[in-house]
Amino acid sequence: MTAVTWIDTPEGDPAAGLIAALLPEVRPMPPLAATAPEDTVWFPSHHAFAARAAEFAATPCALHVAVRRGRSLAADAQVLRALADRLAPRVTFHALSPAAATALQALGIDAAPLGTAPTAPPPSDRAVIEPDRDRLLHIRHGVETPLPLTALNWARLARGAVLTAPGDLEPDWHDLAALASRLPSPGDPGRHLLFITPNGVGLGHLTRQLAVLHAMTEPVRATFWSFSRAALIAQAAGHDVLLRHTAEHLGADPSAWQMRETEALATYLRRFRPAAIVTDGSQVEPFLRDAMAQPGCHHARLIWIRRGMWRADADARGLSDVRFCDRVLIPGDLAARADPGATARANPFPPGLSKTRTSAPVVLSPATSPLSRRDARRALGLGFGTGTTCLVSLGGEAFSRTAGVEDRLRQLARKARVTLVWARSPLAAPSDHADDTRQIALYPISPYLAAFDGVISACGYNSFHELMTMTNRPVLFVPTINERLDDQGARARHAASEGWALCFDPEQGHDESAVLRSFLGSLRRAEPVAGRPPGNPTGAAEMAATIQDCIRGNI
Amino acid sequence: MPDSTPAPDFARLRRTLVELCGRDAYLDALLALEDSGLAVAEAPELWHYLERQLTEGRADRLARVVRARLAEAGSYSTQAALADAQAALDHGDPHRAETILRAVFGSDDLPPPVARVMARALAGTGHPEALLHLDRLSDGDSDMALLKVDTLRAEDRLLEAQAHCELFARQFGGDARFQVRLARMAVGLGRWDEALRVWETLCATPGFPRSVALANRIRLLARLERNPEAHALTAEFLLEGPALPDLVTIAATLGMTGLMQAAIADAVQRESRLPLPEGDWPEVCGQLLDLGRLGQVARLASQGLPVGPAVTETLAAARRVLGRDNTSPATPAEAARLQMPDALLPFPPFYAMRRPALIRHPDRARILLVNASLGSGGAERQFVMMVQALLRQGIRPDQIDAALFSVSPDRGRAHFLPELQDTGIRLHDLQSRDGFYRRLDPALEDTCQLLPKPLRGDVVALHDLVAELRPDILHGWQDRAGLAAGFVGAHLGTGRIVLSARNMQPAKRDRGAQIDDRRLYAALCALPNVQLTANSIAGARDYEDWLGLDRGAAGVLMNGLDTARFAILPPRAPNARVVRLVGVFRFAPNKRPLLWLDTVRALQRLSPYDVRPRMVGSGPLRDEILAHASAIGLKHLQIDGGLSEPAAIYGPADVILLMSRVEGTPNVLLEAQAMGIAAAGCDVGGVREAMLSEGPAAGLVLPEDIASEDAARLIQDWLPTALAAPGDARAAFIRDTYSLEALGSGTLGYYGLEA
Repeated sequence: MTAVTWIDTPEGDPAAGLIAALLPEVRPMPPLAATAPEDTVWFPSHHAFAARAAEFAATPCALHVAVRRGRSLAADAQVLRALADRLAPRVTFHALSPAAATALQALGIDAAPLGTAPTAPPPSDRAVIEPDRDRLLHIRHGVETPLPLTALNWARLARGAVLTAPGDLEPDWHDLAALASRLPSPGDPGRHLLFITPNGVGLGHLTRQLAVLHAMTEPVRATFWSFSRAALIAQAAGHDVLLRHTAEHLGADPSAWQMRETEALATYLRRFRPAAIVTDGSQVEPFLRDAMAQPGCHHARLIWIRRGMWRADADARGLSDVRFCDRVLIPGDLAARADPGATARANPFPPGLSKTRTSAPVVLSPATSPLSRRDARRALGLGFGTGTTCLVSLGGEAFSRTAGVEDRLRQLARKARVTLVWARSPLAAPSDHADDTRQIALYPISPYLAAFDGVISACGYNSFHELMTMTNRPVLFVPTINERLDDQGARARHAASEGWALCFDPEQGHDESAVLRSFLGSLRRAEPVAGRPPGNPTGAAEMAATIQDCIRGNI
Repeated sequence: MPDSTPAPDFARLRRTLVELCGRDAYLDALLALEDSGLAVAEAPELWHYLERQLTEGRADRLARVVRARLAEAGSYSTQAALADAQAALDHGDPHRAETILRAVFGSDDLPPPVARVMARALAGTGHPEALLHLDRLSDGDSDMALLKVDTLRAEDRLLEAQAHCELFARQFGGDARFQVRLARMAVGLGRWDEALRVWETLCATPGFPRSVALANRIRLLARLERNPEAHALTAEFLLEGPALPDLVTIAATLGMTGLMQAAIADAVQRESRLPLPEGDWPEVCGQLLDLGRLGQVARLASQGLPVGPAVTETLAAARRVLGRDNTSPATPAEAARLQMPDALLPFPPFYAMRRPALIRHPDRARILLVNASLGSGGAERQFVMMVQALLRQGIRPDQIDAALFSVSPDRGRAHFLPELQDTGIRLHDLQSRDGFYRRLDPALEDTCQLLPKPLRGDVVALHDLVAELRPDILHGWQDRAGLAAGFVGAHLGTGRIVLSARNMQPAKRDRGAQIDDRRLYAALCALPNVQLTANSIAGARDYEDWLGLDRGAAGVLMNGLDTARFAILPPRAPNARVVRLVGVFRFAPNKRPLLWLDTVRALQRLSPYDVRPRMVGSGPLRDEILAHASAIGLKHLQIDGGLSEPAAIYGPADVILLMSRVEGTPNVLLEAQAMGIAAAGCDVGGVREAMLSEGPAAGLVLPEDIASEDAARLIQDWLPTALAAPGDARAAFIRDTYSLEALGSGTLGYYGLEA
């Protein structure tokens, strides 16, 4: 049996996170510990050791106990000495700071201070411990961010900030601050990235993450912790994928699910120690935040890809999660001027640990160069004639509020002698259509755009930016209206107002027949659309570089 | 039309009942019987059968239903009555049990099984007949014998209970329950060593839970301030794997809050896999509520732990009083901050508007004095002195009521009872007071549920009396009674409330205290009708610092001495070599008796005088004192106890010496000086004020922290002058400063009464 180092994890005690940062590898001690004689158990607080003394009296493993300075220290010390005598020689006492070691010595407890004196210059940020308000006050260049006292692993916090305890606090808080300054310097973080992929409506989150991953200039190992089955695409591309289930999918109690998911992710983080976690969504998921706060989970940087164009009625409180991140990466949006939501304004929430970077738009660069019209049509089996072909990529929900529009589109296309090619999700089964409907399932679709004379598309971030930067054919945007999504209507209207595309938005009172007829008619003219933004946006490369720098600690 | 219902098949029905009861399907069995359409009178034997099965299967509620059906049908057997009575007892309703038994069996010549249940019922109601039953039953029946002991204990007849218990312990040799009772009674009687011995024996008794015996030893040792021993035993106790309620008790006793929190957190984590025994969580939550830790209990309940109906009700009361948002802590830190009584404070602003202080002529004012007990301490003596002082100011005895939380003679809480009775005022023993007919108003009832111990019980006990008497002045004596009186007086709008502290701030005296009274004290002092006093200037300043009050906010009520009782001793012979040095104090750590011995021994070495030490007192360190005296070679030590007459205590002395770590105003210094004796003591609390400060007869004030050798040198330097000085000056100082007249007029002043 391999010896295991266990650590007790008392709720709300930051010492466990700090002590775990001193140990090569730890596992949280389960409520009913099954320790082997060769194991080692660490107690970040002597109180927990005393409470469980009987349990460990029977198992001859080594016990390391951090003795904390509290009000009852004199009494505690006497009890601890007696316990140590009874369990000798298995108990080793530790102090959180040199000052604590001196105080304990006076009480007859030999306890060496944990950690070593710092050699590197201290970080410039500060985090002031305010236990009475249940918080830390993070201060960077005079900007203050309140952080929940134990929402972050203090070892992670100490990497970028000097923890300070005001003079009137109990000695234990000073000891914790001292220990935070005595942690070893982080070694080589490695090149392992963990992508957290939420279960979105489409493929947007995954596509952005893949775009960034593919833009890395250095080789990395990528793992996807994915709640979306779309991550199988990443698996097919050779990346590790851990498919997860949401509480909703499982029908589980959300709090129980969150506890389990936190535990699972924390176990992963302890074992694989990714250099960074890259999440893409409208918030930092609580399970992710909680897992990173666990002992032994302090290594990774947290990077949040947070696109804009939030709906005006969207809950903006998620923006406060920036305080838990190391970097917040905002992919540029060509329709940013039309952004109606909270993301158009300065974030009202303070930044905490994070620095925010806004890049150029992010699009997934295909592995191959865009195909010529001939090659693309051949690849898609569309034939080589002069017939007009239109790609329809609506993501399944675009017409959900306008019953019959799809049929109307088919009728008008037939009348206009335009062949419709329906894009379906690469993970979806082919649907049964009795008529002449043609379907393609491609990912990414951008190399094949030359095959089409026009595109009817939803207006999500990725579709919008791919179409606006990778084709000069006419585009009709049909925005999807969904509370979970960005404001596609605003983006589509912006494109229309700029003359980049047409927009059909039933909520704006557009006449569907007129719009569709006009658009289908324009396809036959085969005129390229002028004035669209330039191609090859560099956002993904910028983000990749930022992540690489962040991991190296260069920014 | 003839009834078409087929006649029931009795045999089949009986088989069904047997089968269903056999697999504990009691409800189905009852339904089967009900559905059969048989009236009880038609088949009483089946109903009786079912009742017996339900009773044996502990399906109490269903059994009661069946018995009720039998009774309705006029088929209520004596067996059913007995079962009903038993069930009532099990549900904590001894009155109901008594009623059932009397109705069915009468009151005399009860068969033994009925008499046993009756005895339990009567004991539960405190009925005087209980002991008569128990006298008959206890011979040969250990349960009844135990009940007899417990009944006597409940009536505070400890000495009697102890005598019986010793007898029963011999009679039922292997039954440890009698040893447990003996140990507990020894504690009640102040026989600490005896209690310790019993628990030590139980520690080694096979079959008796060792952790329980250890826990009791630790509590006793802590009470005796023998902390090193208590802590060493605590390690042993922890290694025994104690039950959580026992661990919480010990942690609270020793002030080891961290241990308590860790143990509870650990149990919470394990609960899903290794649940605590039934009843442990309610007990732990009850302990936490006793300590005022409401937030922690609310959090435990919100985590889905089985906290029990009583705790659930208390939390509902908390929500009514404080609001749901304020009683739902999300984090351990938030839970820790939700403490009682602090969360109730400050008092609502309208409390300040209630009944403004009334200037009343002294002969119409009604005064209610409150103290915890009339034990043999200095504060209790001063309580009596204050009553005498008020009477000397012309207050009539019928204007004064005194309430005491306990005056149990067996527990030593009635030492000054005869003296107080002699004053002619009305006394109220709150522990045995009958007729709690006046219900608390619902809001206060909710609030009381939330208070920590002992405030909760004190407030409830005192409220009824204050509401009944409606005194103009409510005067609480010492911290415990002061806080209860203040709380009740504030709620009932008493015109004038005086809180008389008798020592230095509690935080200095009891460092392991789990409940911090500071905010409650401060909130009371912020009310316009409340006046805080101390019995020394140093004490008043100390309370002001502790509570953040302005200088002078706390008044001073000096101790009062009936100087007529203290005759001045004749002067020493001018060349006498013998110096008789007395120390009068409780043999407890805060009096630093070992430092006293060391100092006297050092004095014996360096002084030309023949120093003859004498200690007067008693207490837990007596054995240690004797051992230490012997170890350091102290000569001529004499120890006396049980003295009450001044001449016997101080008579032979030339010098009184105190080396205490903490003091209020030490009566012994006042009394000794009143007899002309030279006084020396460490500079703590009101010691400096209590000594004549000028002239050759002045007392010697030693530094608070001083080594014995240094103290001896200072004493030796001072002795010749002090011994040569006449005692009259000291007596005059005491007479002028600590007279009953000064105490009486000062008290009336704080009452707002014109002298």
